Amino acid sequence: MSNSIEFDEKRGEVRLLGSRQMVIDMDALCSHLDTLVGNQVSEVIVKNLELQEGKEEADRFLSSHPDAKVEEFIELMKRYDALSGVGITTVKLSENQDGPIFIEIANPYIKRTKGSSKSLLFSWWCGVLSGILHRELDLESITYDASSDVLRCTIIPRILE
Amino acid sequence: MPPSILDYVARVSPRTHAIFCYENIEEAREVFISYLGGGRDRNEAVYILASSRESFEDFLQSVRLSSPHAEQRIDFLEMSKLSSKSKGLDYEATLALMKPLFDEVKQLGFGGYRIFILANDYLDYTTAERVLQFEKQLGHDFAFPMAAICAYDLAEVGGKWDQVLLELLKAHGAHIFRGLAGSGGEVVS
Repeated sequence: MSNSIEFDEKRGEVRLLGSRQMVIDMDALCSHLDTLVGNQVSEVIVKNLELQEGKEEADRFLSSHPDAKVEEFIELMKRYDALSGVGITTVKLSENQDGPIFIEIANPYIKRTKGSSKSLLFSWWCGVLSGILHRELDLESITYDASSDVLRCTIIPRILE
Repeated sequence: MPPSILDYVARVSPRTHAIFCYENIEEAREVFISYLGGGRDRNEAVYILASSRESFEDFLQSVRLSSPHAEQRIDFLEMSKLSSKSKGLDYEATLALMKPLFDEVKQLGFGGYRIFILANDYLDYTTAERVLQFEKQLGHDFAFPMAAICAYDLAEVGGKWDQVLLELLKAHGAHIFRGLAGSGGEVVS
């Protein structure tokens, strides 16, 4: 697997960590989706998509690196964020990995905390972490601090009613 | 909302089972007024299905219509009649209530009828998961000539619909949002 991002203009390809991707303006896509169907519906649609994508990413990693530690996977995903233009991501797990998880993205590509943008970055992380920690997690809160240009999120174990 | 969407709402065809998701009362007002206008143009009676007469009147007040509406029939249908103690929201009870309405409105001189459902009121009777089951039972289209718009106020109930929202959308044959509407191959925006 390549450990970076590769552009092959002759073939019209972009590969991120070896996997083919396409560069699109996600901010514009999210804004348009919000306009079409409203913030709440778009948030749910993107949440559903990104949560699933995150879980699949975790499954792929775990099947190819069955002995990898959680920290190794998180480092790879942080690199994935940086290379794909999401921003510079920091993940803080509790000591036993069973409490709330705090994620910060400095210089985030998306700075909005409503509608589909709310789900775009952190639902993917929620899916990834659910997959590697083998338990269902939920987004609890998302905030943006404009003064430091940091997007923050808390992910917590799912509370079963 | 775009005129094309309001036009879609006005001319919604009989048997349509539509979902309308909104987040502010102004969107609901525009859609309801257009739905009402379409009913008038097609000589269809308009009913609002709500959990209580108070809820019905609150809605009319919030969309700045008074009850009884002077020009046109907007009548109240009581949601409790769709439910039974043992089953909660009940498909059979719904059919028993809705089917005879066609003959009743004919006797009143209307050509048909359309219903606007204050879907958040369902939560007075049951859970979001049960509402989803009920909506699925109703199907994409009704088996009898009744149009219905199930209006879900997503802002009012603090995320209670979120877990079932995608499935709720799939359960309906037509969809109305603030910038997009459609059913089958027809989409307007």
